[in-house]
Amino acid sequence: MKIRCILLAPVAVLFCTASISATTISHTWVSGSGNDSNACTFASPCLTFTGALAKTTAGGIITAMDAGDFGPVSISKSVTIDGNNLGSITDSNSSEIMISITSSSANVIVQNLTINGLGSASYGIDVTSGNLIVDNCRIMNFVEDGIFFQGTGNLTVENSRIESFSGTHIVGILIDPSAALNVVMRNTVIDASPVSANNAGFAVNQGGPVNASLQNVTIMGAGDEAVYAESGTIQITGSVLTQSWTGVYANNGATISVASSMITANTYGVCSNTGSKIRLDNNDIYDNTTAIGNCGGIVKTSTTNKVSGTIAIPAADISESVTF
Amino acid sequence: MKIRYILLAPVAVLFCTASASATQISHTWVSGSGNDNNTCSFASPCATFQGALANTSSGGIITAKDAGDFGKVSISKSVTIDGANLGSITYDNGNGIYIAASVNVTVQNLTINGLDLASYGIDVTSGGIVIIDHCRIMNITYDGIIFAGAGNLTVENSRIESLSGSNVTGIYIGSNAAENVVVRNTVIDASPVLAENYGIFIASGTGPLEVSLQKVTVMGAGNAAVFTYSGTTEVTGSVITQSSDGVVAASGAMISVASSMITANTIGVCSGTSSKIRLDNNDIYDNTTAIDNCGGIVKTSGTNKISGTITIPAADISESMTF
Repeated sequence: MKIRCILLAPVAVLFCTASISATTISHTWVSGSGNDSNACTFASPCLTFTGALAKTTAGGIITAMDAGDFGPVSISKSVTIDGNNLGSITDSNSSEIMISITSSSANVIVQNLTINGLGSASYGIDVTSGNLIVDNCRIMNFVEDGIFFQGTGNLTVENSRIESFSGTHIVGILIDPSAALNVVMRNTVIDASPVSANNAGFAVNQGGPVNASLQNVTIMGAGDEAVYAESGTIQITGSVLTQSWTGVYANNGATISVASSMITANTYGVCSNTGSKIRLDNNDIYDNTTAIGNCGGIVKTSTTNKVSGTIAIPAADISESVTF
Repeated sequence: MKIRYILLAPVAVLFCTASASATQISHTWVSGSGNDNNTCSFASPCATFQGALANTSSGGIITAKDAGDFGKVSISKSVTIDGANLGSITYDNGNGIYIAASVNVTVQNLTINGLDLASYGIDVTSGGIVIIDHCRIMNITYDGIIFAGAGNLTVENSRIESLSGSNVTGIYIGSNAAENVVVRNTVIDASPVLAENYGIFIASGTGPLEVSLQKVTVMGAGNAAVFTYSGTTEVTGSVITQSSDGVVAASGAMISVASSMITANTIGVCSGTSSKIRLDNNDIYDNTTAIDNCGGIVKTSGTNKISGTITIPAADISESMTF
């Protein structure tokens, strides 16, 4: 009996090793007490998202089974990462991106997760290629952008909070489109404060074309613009743009439409630069130093906005046409 | 004393076994470390929703007590399934939740993930009263929710997305019986646009069918965001965007859209022959064609703001508030 036992043990170990490296499963698990040499099953969870991703089939899901800090992860295949309102990625490495997505074929969902750069790490989520849905996440304490979305694909952010920027001249969500892409942000707060840091809340660079729809969004504390676009079309509804330098800024030919929203307590409420266009319908625009700045572009207003404060554009430029 | 102890032990085991098979309790529990041979009580949780359902009395509730993957479930009695924001149904074929009897079912706080392989998220064939609240239904190759038969469907605070097939639908409503549907504070992402998918599709039928969409976002539909062949549909406080067609009524269906945004679609609004679309206080921007001439009636209140092409005759744009 003793001899048989000794012979069997190495065989079992070899079998296990081969099984782990060769097989991926569709639902993997991480745990605060896991180990990345495990198979990442529920019964044998891994310790990090990176460790679990290697064992997750494309299109699969990684779930946090209990509380833990599961580390930064670079993603090049379709996957769902579910922090389960228990897990976080907390990392202070200044060169670190918490979640990096690098493949155009990657459809990635991140949900129920706190992503915390501790005032040192660079980006929350950096997408160089691929599609991303962020739902019920908190992205905080970064020295660069909360979400930096480049390339093509679709971005959806909902039920989330992006705040506590530590750098200057950075952006809560920065869209840098090299081709056509669609963005939806819904039921989300971006706090770009402190105002002294000259940050922006939501910004779209040149390129695209981009379609962006912002719904029930609060953007505040931007030392630059709460919403800024230099390409594409952006529609905003049911939102609050407040306590920033400029609430809404269209530049370089961008078109921004704002309806049923509040634009309040900014230095400039609205600014449409040369060649650009801003539509305003049924908004409450109060307590800005200048409600509508004269920035050289078109501002179309329905007759249903309520405005206090200075209007710097010529009176003739305030259209009351409903066809705008 | 020693003899009595030995005799009693087997009796206790037998009693437990009989209890599990014969007795149902109103509140059962599942756990990632549970076992379906248990009684599904909090102290002795089961491993699967299907296992727990067998031990749950009609009208009862199954709750996830911790994280886990609790498997597909076929339901034929009234029950509430509560994932407690911890549990999921992750599966690679068939239906995540199948409701084949006319019963009252609530599903809440649950992620249903078809892994780009399974056909349906929630399949209701007989109607009943079905409530979906705080759920995520994702990676489905056919429909996120398909609801057929008489009854009521309510979907709220949920997300339906990552449809993997083509010509598939986020929420599909179809039957020849009376149905009431409410979708509220929910996102349906039917992308990719290339896939010819629908966000919400209401099939032809005798109904009567009443659908209310409130504070809903429907986007990324390669076919139509909202398409109806029958009944009446009212939409308010919603965003219909980034789709091929925004709102389409056909075959005599009626859609009323108020205080919503219809934006960045190829065609914003299309009312087919003998159909009717009412538009009040909407923002209709950045569509290639805002209102297309599809042969039916489009009534506008005078309070919509519209950019882009309008191909219906100017005389057909009513500015009456009585429409």
